[in-house]
Amino acid sequence: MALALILSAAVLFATCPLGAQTDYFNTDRGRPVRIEDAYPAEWHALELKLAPLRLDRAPGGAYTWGVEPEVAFGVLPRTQVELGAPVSYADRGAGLARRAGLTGLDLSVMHNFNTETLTLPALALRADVLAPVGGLAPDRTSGSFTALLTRTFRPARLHANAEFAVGPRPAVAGSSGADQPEASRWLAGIAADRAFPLRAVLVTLEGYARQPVAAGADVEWNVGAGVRAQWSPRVTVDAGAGRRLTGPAQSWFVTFGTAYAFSIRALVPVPAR
Amino acid sequence: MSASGRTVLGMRRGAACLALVTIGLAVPMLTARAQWSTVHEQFYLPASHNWAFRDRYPSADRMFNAFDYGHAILYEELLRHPGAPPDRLERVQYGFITGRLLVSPPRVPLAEAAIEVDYARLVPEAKAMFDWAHLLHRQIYDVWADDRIPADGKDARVAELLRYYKSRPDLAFSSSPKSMDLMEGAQYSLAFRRRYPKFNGLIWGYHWLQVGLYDALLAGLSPDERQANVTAAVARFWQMLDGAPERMPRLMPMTAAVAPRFAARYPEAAIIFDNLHSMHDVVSDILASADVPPARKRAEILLAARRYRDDSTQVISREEWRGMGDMVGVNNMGGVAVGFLPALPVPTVPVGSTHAEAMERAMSQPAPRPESP
Repeated sequence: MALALILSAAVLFATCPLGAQTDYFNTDRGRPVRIEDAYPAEWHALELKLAPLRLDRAPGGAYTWGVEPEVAFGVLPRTQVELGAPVSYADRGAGLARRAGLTGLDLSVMHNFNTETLTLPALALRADVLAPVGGLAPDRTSGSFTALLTRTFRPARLHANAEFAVGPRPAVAGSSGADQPEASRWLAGIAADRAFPLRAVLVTLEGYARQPVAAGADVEWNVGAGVRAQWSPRVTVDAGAGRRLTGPAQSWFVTFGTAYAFSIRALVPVPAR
Repeated sequence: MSASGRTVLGMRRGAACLALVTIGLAVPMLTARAQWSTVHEQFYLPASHNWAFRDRYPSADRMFNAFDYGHAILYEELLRHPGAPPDRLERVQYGFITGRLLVSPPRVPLAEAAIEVDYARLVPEAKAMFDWAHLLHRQIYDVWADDRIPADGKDARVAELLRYYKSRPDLAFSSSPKSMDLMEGAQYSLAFRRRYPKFNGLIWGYHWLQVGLYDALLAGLSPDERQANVTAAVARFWQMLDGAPERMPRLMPMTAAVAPRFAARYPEAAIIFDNLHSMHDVVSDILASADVPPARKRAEILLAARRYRDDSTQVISREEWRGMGDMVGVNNMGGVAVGFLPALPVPTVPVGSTHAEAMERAMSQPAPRPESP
């Protein structure tokens, strides 16, 4: 089924008008892996992340589908705001009711402090707020801060992310947070990527640890890999896969996503003379 | 030790490794001479003409993607292998670019930071200046490739693009013409063209086509004529590569000489592109010159970048700028881009010459008449 969806989406985009930047080199959270680089959307750019899919398969055959359409806007130099509406559908196996719904409304602001130089990595900070909107959302608003770092070496770029939740621990709908498989008290990880610029393709690997939000859960270790490619100047496609190595639900997951970069003339001031 | 104890120990070791890697990535921050750069990217001006050139002239558009590779690999090679034999660029890279890349160019614009890895971190400010000017280049092609925009509408669009370009004074090249002495009169000047004549000729061939295509578009009175002119200009570029470096431009192609229609109609844009192309040569010279030690290269490039952005350093009049091509001879710059003869124009100066030498030569003997169809 996942393959069918991926192929359908690929066919859909193959028929879209193609039209811009080299966005495949600027990775985003979950696109294709969890750990991202320290660069936000360009000033005045809008990035529409269309139908980014994630499928988790837990032991025993329980599936969780996630779709998180997002829009990011380069609101200021080196600063983006992003709004996401994650939707989850959990098939929890024989005898258990299926659950589907919005798992919150995610608003984030990311600011990059500097561009990488020979002596300094690129550094950024992101603040996230997840509002309790939707049937599978947490019972109260939760927030987190993430520090991001990118350093380039000749063979590859390395990215380090460290995320910490702030405020009281929210009670998660569903059992053990299964509806929000990525909700964490803290998360820390590293990704390495290598670009193939003449093909406009980026290959990436990651490893990260996180403390799930559910009470009493152990620290989870995860690994993932993905590919991100520039389909046309405006469209980026990505696909990834990974595995949760520890914890009670050592699941596999696959992701697929597309992003469309554009801008709106009314949002771009041009001096009169 | 119990299984759970081993798991906890493993997690702690993993966490310690993660912390060490993160510290390793961040350690350079602690060095005394850290370079803090806040240069940032900005999206191109959204408009109905966006990507019109790519849609209507895909072959020429794709060549620009290959040109981006040529500039990027040049800077990276010069920076990473300063004392390497010229063959690395003159034979290996030149052969790859002309034999494979230009023949089958990339289908989308390149992420140059993935090619010029060290250069992009040495001077992200200069890289951003080039990127910003290249966006202007491409957007003006789009305006003139969009057949839906009437001629007077095109002028208004180009004027708007110029205002948008100049809204980034930290990135925008000056629209005041600069003396060639800024490019050819420094301690490091000519280092690149003398050591790498073929690759230098290739870069000048790029610049000839980049400005020449404007005249190809402006001179065409119908879409068919514009297609024919663009095809002819691209063919002329290939003709220059045959027998390099002898048949390549011998002096930096100047917009007023190669694309006189464009320079007359949009002098500000033409001057910006001449300053852009001069700065490309200056960066090549700084990176190639042994007189500039590695520790000084960033400072010299940033100094040159400031001089090409300001409206005061070595500024000449527009009349002097327009006359420069006539003085040194457009035949030394690859010739005009529209209405040329089948044979390449005959240059009057040897490979590796300077504008000053060409001027002296022009004053001591009558210049040959520019070609005309």
